[in-house]
Amino acid sequence: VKNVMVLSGTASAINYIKSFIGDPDVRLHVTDSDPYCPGLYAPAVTPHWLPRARDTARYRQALDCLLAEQAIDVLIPTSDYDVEGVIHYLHDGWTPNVAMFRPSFEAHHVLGHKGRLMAHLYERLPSIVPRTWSEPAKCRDLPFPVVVKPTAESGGKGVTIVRERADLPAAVARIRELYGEQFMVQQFIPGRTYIVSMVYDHDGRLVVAAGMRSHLTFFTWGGGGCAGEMVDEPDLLRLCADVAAAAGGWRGPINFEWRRHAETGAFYLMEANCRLNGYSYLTTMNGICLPRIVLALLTGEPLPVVSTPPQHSRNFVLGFRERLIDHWIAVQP
Amino acid sequence: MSTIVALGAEKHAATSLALAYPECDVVFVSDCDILDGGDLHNVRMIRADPGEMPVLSAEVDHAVPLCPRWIGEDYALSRTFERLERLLPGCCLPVQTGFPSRGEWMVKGDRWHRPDAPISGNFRHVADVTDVHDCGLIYQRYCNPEGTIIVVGRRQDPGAVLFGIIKVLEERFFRDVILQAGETINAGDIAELSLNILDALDHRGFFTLNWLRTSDGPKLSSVRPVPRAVFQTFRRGGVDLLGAASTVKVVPPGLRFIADPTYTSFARLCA
Repeated sequence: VKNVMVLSGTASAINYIKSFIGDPDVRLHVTDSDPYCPGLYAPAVTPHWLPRARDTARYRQALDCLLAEQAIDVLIPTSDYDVEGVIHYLHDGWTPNVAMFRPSFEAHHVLGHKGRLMAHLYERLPSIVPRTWSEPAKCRDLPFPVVVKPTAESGGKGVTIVRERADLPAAVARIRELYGEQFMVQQFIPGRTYIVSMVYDHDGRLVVAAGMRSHLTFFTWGGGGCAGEMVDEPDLLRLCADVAAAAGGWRGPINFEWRRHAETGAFYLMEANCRLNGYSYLTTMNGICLPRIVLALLTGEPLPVVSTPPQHSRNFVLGFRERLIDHWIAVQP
Repeated sequence: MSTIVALGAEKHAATSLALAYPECDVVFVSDCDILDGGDLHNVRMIRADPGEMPVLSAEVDHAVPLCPRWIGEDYALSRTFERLERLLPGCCLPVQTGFPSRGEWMVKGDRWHRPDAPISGNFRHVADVTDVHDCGLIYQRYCNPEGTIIVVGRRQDPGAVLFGIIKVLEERFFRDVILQAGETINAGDIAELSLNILDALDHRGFFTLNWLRTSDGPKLSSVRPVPRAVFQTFRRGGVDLLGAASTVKVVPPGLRFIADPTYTSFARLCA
């Protein structure tokens, strides 16, 4: 039996949890800083509270304790904050005795930040980069609508679609209040959102890539998908591989979010997230179990068989269903 | 088998209702074409517009509005709070329909909950918010509360009220607001204030009262004529919100719940 620890218990963690439930060879540990996070209350999960990854010293100490106490064999960070926390810890010389992906600090530095990623790709792959402005007040010719968004958040946090110049100062003031100067103003791309989730092996070779698109988004203005389907878009998969290569290569799971322009059909990169996407359970529903592939790469076991595009017929809608529980997990003071 | 019609089934409370009443045939009615719940054995789905509500809810055992859009009467928060300010001065956090000229504010929907993430801040920072959802906009002084409590229930007649008091531990704001985690509690002051408010308004039907614990005592921040996703919790506590009420009955404390992310396949609803 392997002790597998999934850091964070929401979004892509749900795919890991649902994929490993019932496997007698996996004892699944899930952590989160939010004691009300749903993954902590999933059946057959051993829940643990951890400080927020941004509380660096406390997080590292608590993580080290848990890895030792629970004899963890495999470690899988699944939120942006956990990925960043772990990569910075590795960069500082951390050498945990667990199987985990160890992507380069430099690649994450580019891929994990929207502003840096767009700047990095502007000269290398200009056709996929939406126009961005860091000082919108100085630009007299902004083509409205534009998107005002934080550079290091995901999940639609802090995003505003600004349709007229008169509305820009309020949107910028609001985002400055929350994120300081860590925001960008970006060209609005009309169209649907596409996601490609990919898994690279320890040597940076692409093992699997799966494309998806949204039918319904979390917010009325857009954002991440809460209903969607798989798509067969080989050109898009190639673009994703080009982006990863341009950033210096990757190891482990990663996803790229795109907008396909409603009029031109061109794909524009919105962001990269150095983990599986939030609704990647869609791939598992369709016979591509990305968590199993991640686990096999980490443990050296044979890779599972994956389905092919004609079999990708199941769509999904995400619901949030009331479930009674017995008690809340304890939070360390 | 009795039939429940859930009006506005795009709301989080729809699957809560269906899961709480597995012995009933539950009809999800919505003007949205993608809904959760298609995998539940007791659920059927119909696409319809709020204008069809009288026809849809006629001759069914229970019609449960889950969004005020599906209720013909006017339950605008601005008018309800105006009445309450006259009847029970000081119980509400006042709202205004006019754009504020100073201070920190929260933007809310007047006739129903404004979708997406809450927007709050200095009055200049909320100047760009427009009423794209046609729910009407109101402004409420921003308040950083010590805690949020909701009172959910149904008032049949004076003295015939079924309800529960829930400490909101976490909410998530998307198209709909998701009650992510909560626990039923005993709160005598909130219970008394809530019954006074319902009596003052002589409200009939479902309700959700939103209370903020502030340094100035509990303040009502919203009243909506719909329930939230707590039907299973209430039934576990012995309170059947669809049942006949003859007295005041309250859900006991200590019942805990979360919102569990669920993936199912869907078929689009056709007009």
